[in-house]
Amino acid sequence: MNKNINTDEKKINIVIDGKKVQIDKGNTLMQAAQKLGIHIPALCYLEKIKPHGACRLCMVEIERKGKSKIVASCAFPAEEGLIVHTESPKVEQIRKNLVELYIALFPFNPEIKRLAKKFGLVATRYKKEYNYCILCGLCVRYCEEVKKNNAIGFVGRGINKKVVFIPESAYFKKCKDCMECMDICPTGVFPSNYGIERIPQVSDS
Amino acid sequence: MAIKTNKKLMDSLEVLKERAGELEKELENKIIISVCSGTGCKALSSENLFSTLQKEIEKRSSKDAKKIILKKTGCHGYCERGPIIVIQPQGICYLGVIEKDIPEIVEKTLNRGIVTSLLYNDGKGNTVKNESEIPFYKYQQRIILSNNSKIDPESIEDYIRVGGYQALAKALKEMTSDEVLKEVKNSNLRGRGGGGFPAGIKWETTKNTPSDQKYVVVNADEGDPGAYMDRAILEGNPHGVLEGLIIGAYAIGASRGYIYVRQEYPQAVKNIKTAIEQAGKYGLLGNNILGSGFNFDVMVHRGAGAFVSGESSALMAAIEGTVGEPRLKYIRTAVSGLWRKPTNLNNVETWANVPYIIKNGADWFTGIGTRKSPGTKIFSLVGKVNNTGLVEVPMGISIRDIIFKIGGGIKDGRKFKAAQTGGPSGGVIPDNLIDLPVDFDELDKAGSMMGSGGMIVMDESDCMVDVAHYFLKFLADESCGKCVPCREGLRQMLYIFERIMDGKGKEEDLKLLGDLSIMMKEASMCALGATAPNIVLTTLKYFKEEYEAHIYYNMCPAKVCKSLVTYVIDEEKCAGCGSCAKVCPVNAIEGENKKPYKINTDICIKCGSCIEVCPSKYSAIVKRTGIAEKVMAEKKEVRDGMEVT
Amino acid sequence: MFSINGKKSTINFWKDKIKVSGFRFTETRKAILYTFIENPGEYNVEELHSLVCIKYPGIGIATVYRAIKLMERIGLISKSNIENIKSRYRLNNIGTSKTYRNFQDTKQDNFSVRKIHKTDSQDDYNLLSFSNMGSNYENFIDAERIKKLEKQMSVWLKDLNKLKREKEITLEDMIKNLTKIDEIIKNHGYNRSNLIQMLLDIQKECNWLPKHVLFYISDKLEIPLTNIYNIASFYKHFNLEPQGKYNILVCMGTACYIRGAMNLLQRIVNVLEVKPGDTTNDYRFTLDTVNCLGACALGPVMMVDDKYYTNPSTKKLKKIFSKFN
Repeated sequence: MNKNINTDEKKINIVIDGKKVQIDKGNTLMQAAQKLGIHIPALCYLEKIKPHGACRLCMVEIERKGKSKIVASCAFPAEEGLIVHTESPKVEQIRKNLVELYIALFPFNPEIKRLAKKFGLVATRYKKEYNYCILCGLCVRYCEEVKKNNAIGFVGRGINKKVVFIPESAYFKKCKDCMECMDICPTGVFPSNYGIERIPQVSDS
Repeated sequence: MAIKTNKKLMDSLEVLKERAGELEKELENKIIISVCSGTGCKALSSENLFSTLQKEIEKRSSKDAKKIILKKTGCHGYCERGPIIVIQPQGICYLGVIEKDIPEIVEKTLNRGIVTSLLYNDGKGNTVKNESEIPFYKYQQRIILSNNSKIDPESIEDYIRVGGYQALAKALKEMTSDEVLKEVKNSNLRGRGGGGFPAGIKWETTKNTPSDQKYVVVNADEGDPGAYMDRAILEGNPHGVLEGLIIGAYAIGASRGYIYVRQEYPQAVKNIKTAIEQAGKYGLLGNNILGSGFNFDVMVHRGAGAFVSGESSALMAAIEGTVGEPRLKYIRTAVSGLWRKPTNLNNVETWANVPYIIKNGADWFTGIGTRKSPGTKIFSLVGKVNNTGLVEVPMGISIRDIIFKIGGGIKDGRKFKAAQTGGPSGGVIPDNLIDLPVDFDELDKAGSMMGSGGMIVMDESDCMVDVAHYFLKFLADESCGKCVPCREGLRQMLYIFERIMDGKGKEEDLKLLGDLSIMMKEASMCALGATAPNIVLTTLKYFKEEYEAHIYYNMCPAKVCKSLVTYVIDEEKCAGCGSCAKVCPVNAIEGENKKPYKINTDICIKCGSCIEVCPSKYSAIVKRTGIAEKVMAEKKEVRDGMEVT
Repeated sequence: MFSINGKKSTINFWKDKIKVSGFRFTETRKAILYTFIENPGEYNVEELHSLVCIKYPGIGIATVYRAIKLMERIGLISKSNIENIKSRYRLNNIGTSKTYRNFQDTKQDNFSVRKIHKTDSQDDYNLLSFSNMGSNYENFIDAERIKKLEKQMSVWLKDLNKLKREKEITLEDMIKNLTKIDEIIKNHGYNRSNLIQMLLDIQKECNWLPKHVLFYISDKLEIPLTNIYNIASFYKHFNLEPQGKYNILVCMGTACYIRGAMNLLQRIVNVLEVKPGDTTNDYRFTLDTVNCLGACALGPVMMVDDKYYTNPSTKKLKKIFSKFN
């Protein structure tokens, strides 16, 4: 691991889609692309909060020491001398398959619609099961990191993962005055789709 | 059992060797009866056998009673023939012992005799007396598991007696930490948890990252269903793992260690906690170990039932107290792991190899196994094989040897179909590749992977589509659900499989599975999602005809998929005894005495209870598959070549 | 409360819902939907028809009436029934607040169970601060605090008392529970990183994780409640519902599976009449599946309270279960 000697220690040079850019050390590839004006699609990315890497639409191909790798650009820290391809054939194929999966999940998001049009995907071969929460985690992370209220969280795992409020908790009291998570939800239907999920301890059978 | 505990602090190699010699001398002229108390044998009431033995020995004269030392040991490995009792020093091995045998065993042992009926019998009248001669053990190379049949896991003195902690003393007192690291690096020890990454290089990265605090972690979260090697090591020889961990910590410069044990192994948790306590009392753990100035202490952290927590970044998240989900790992955990400090994580078996490498040298280690994958590997050989159990073999042995020489061949004389390796992340190896050497790279090339060491043997009565479906369901439940490719990909794969197994598969489904697999492999966040398609890809590659039979002919060749199978009573064979009708849980079988019975195919839930009770002289109930079969069953036509009971 | 983004999505949601129900999104239905969105409120059929005709003239009242009946059937609009007045209709919120879905869908193979838990309304709960509760009930000096505590606990008790159990949890038990939990938290050094270990110990004590316990831990250790629920629902071992006296575990490891574990599970389900993940009505047994018990030579294995059984038949199962009281 060679430490590169730059005149300005904190700046790194990378190449994205053939264009050079100089960015601060510690910036992610997504931030570098934004500086250049290159648009990388993403659903679970927001400037203010830490990257989550859940939607996997922002995958790009990087070349490093002669080997290529697919990484999530919203979280990968830039390194000196990296060559990045945001639309190489491999990335396009993965993105196409991924968008096909999204169409079966939630096709109404403008970003998904745009990508579907670009790849010429009209219908999906998968079973359609629309779920108005794509579990991107934006609401959870926003409430946790920006509002510091922790009113909403994930429960369960795997196929049965969900996003819920806990109505009995003190955190939920503050929601009426806030409701900011509704604006950042990529599906736009939250949280009224969920209503309020109460965590029951008793089941009426 | 009582061993004299000498609380003398161990502070040098000489003291340890001396103590080992003393303990060995105490056993001169004594007979040791070791009772296997691994979980497998415990399930067969080996605890009962132990207490019966105790009572039986008490009945004898005190002179006789003093001659015998009774010991509970860890898992011997030959789980098919448990409970196992071994008489030392002769090494006489008794298999399948029951309570009634105990008085005879005690009697014969005191008189230096043998109970021949309990010896291994090869079926042709030849018996084998010695443990090491039994074919199951003979073709193995038992290094790590060798101590399991000799020592009591709850006694540190027993471990010292067989040479325990001498490697630690050598490392701390006679080698610098750099030398220890070099030795492990030269041995090319590769991670036994599945990744196969060279442990020495990982240690080096952790060591070279500057930090005020470093950690070492033992991954004992053995989530693969059907694999229980790590449990046998932790339950049978916890001190061995501990010793390896301390040596590693010394090499890396870590002062704190964590052992993450899954919650389903309460005995392993208990044994490792006892071991830690004892090692502390003997000055082998804690402050100023062996008087060398090196400080290290260990904490045990229990899991709570999540397979995905076995992934390294998820495990560290769980130790930190947050939910055990994998994280984006663009900075390696060796550089920034637990609480952002350099952390080195290795599997239990990897740590267990370290004391042997230090004691015998890297050259000794590279002399075993293959060039690229040195050393031995423990496999849990289970499934349709005659000798199920834990086997330790040198890398490079062929799968054929494991299954036929050690495993004793396929149960009930059936034909071998495939061996599934690597657990849910691995794939199947078909019959024509059975001579593949077992080694990290060869298995990778075949599309499967070594994984943590599960080897499940399947015969012609196992449907590959069903096996793939089983693993996908397992992964869908155990996936953390964070990223879309894994969660939604697995969900859609399950839908496709359910359709295929229901007889509603389409031709496009195979291409769809292929596309989905490629996407999941590249786009998933962690190894669970990335290796989930392996089972689908390998079964598609080697057993495509089974998928095609399901899709095009609505046929399940192995007669497993319930929607495609019909249970039919062959009228010409049925004697009308009515045993089947009595056990049918849904009352689907009707008939009169002495006349052929009939199964109502609309109600039948295909549980198989009727086939089990049909007397073998009639064997009248058969499974038929294919759409035509359902119609034919009613038309009473018999189609040849499709019968399997 | 919707942003413009929300409005469009509402339209798309209902469009999709109509299509999925098998009906066409005709012009009339589109017109009615848009009218409802732009004019929120309740209307009877005549009022609605006049509103619709403002922007979409030429739609007859009979057409509107038929469309409304259909949309009511698929849940897009609902009717308010007040006596002696004509029925009024309004647009439903996308998640109706009347039914709360249980977040635990136990779906096991062919035994999928969907539990729907209905409640009346969203009760207003106050989270009391338990931080200075002290380790003994006798140490409470503040009478008002005791009253608040009792009120809070009695509300939770109402939930728990819905269970038909021999031993019902009393207020006393709940307070005693909290004392034990204080000890456990102390044993782990009040350290937040040991949350999972603490929950494991609590689960051993109480056999499940009652709600008041989780609230208490959240308050005492200052961990957000959502984090605790995330952990408690992520791991399979933690039970958020009371368990039966004896735990039945069926091994679903690969070795046991290919030796017929599914048939064994089916036999147990037939005998006990519960699905995997559920408890019998008399709270004697809880049936669950587990990944690998490590007794592969005995496969398929069933474990009841530390005792192992190899592939028991239906007759044998009945004998075994009758032994456990």
